[in-house]
Amino acid sequence: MNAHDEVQRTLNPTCTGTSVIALQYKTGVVVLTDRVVSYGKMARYKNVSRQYKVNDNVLIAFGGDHADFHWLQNVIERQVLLWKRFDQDIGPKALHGYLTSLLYAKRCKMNPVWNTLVVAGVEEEEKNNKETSTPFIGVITQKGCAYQVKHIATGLGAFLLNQAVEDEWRKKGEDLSREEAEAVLRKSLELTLYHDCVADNEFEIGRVDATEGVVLGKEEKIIGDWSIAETNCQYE
Amino acid sequence: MDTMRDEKRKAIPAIGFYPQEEISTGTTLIAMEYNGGVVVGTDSRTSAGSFITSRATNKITPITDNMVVCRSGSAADTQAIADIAKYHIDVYTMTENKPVTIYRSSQIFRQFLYNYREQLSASVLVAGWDEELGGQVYAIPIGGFVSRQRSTASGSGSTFVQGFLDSQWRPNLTLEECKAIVKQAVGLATFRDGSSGGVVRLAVINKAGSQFELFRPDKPGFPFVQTPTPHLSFPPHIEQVL
Amino acid sequence: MSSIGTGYDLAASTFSPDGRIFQVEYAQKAVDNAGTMIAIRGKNGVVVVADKLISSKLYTDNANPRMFNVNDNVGVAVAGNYPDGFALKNYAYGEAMKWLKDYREPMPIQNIANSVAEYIHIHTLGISRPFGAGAFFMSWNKQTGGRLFLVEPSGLNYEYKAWAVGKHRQAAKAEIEKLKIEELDVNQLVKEAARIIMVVRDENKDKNVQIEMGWVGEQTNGKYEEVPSEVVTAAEEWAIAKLDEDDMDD
Repeated sequence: MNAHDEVQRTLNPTCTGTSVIALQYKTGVVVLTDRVVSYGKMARYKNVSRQYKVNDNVLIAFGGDHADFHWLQNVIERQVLLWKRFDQDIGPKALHGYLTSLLYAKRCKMNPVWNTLVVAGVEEEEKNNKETSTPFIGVITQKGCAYQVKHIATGLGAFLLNQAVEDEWRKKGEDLSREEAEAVLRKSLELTLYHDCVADNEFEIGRVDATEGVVLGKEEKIIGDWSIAETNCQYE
Repeated sequence: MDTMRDEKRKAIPAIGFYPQEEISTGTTLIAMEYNGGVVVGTDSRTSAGSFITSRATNKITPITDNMVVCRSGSAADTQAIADIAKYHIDVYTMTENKPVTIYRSSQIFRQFLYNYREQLSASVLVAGWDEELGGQVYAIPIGGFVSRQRSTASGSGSTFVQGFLDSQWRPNLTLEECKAIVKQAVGLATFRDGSSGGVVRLAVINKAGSQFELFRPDKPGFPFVQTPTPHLSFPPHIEQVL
Repeated sequence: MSSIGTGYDLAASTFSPDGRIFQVEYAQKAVDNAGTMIAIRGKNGVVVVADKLISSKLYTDNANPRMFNVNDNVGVAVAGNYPDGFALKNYAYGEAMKWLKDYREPMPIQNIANSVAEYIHIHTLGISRPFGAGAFFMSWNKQTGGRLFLVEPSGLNYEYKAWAVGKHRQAAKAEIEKLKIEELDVNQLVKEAARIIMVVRDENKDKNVQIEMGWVGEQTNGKYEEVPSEVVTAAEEWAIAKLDEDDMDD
């Protein structure tokens, strides 16, 4: 690259979101994200969603740079329109594949999209037959590394929660109910709240269900248990 | 100073840890004079990068019955300084057989912070009450500059509330008024500052001595912040809910 | 046409001495001679109806649709030379995508119509032959209500309350004018539009014809959609009954 080709690339995230936690249950997927935008360690903007409804079958949640995701959101929106032009509705598997290629290609150009994406949805195995639809969670990192999972916690949550979420999931496995899955998510957020500086107690739980389709979450709040502060106080 | 060997101090970007950043208290510290003493307030978060190593830390360290010090910067540095300064002040109190003034105590802290300014990453608020000058707050930021303040904020959360404090202080504040202001200031700072959070700890220092109070988010009296009702986050044509 | 053979009709770059561009007028003929297409803006939406000649029984159902989405909110219906119309629709679609990329909102209908009109004009002027197709654009939303545009082969672009193009456009317009279209809701419009298409047909010539319909309005939540085939069939049945009734009155 010579001087004429120099371009400014954003190699550091600025306005960011932290963990995404997602979990499969019997007939769908639940996804939890908090609603704060951090600027470094400052809680810069509140009440900002990190879940995007792509269509009735797909919901995307993200961590990382918000500006990069807004770019991605537009790319996805146009991809969905392109599919519609050929009378197709994009499914979670296809979108996951598309985004994997996109993020990998971008990072190969040394211009990564600074997001960890969680593509949640139900895959219609047969057209117009909800009976055979299967829940789907796909993860993509900013490097284009992608995989499918039954449960996931990203960001600092990856260090704190994956084992806890897996343990909970294993108790019931494929028979986990939606309510149980959501309870795991809420407990998980409580843990990040105790251990992640940039996690917030205001959050939303979105879901994709085989019969209901995408249901966007409403804002919720948790406080947590602070009784530890009564005992941990050495006044000398 | 953090003594981890240089070659061992690898960055862990995933948790926002970079070796040039200390494992530090982040912190919001507030102190304010009222008509019979001082009120100090702090958060309870200690972090390394984005990771919260302790969520219920006590950052108000009593030095004497009528003086506390609020610490920010490297946890290890400030703890060491507080211990050493306390030792010196206690020795002076015994040899002179009367309490060391808050002003002189602040100068004892200054000596360490100034003489070792290149080695240390520490800043403190010295707050207390004595017969001579009543309630006093001395701010000593990194470098060892000492100044007496009516009210002040220190630590990473201070930038968010200095203006609020400036607008609130007035002569002859009552204890209850002062406590309300300090508590609200800590609440406002922890609301915006990721390095501050957890519970609010208050200390009132006056002629009677020091009283400590705790405000938990899960108990009444915690200074929550209300924000305006928000707009939607994605472009208006996208389906979304509040 | 009076000046045929005088050499002024060989290129769109040449005016005739009386200030006409024959190539453009010939292109307009391609639309004028095509199947009738009418579009009507009613109380709470816009409906477009085309009468299509099905030249072979071997085509699949709706093998060559004339109505498309430009984006979710704007529909386009093309009349005249089919490939030319198809190209216009593709261009409009591309423009709408570009707008969405740049401004992160769906392209407004006025901009789409203007953009296609300008494309037609530039194409006619400097690139090659004119387009032998016209395009209706329609949309509806709560703020602006229904909107209907027609872009013609000349590049002319007007907004209409209702309009007709194609073979029986004059008769169709006369029929539309008899209706109080502002008071009709979309479901009534569908029926009336089917009736108009049928009443203006030349019974001797227009055989093997089929009706295609598109709508956008309050009931589609502002999304442009193809009218479901059962609604089209119902409208046709209603229209036939209505026409029979009128005949009885006569």
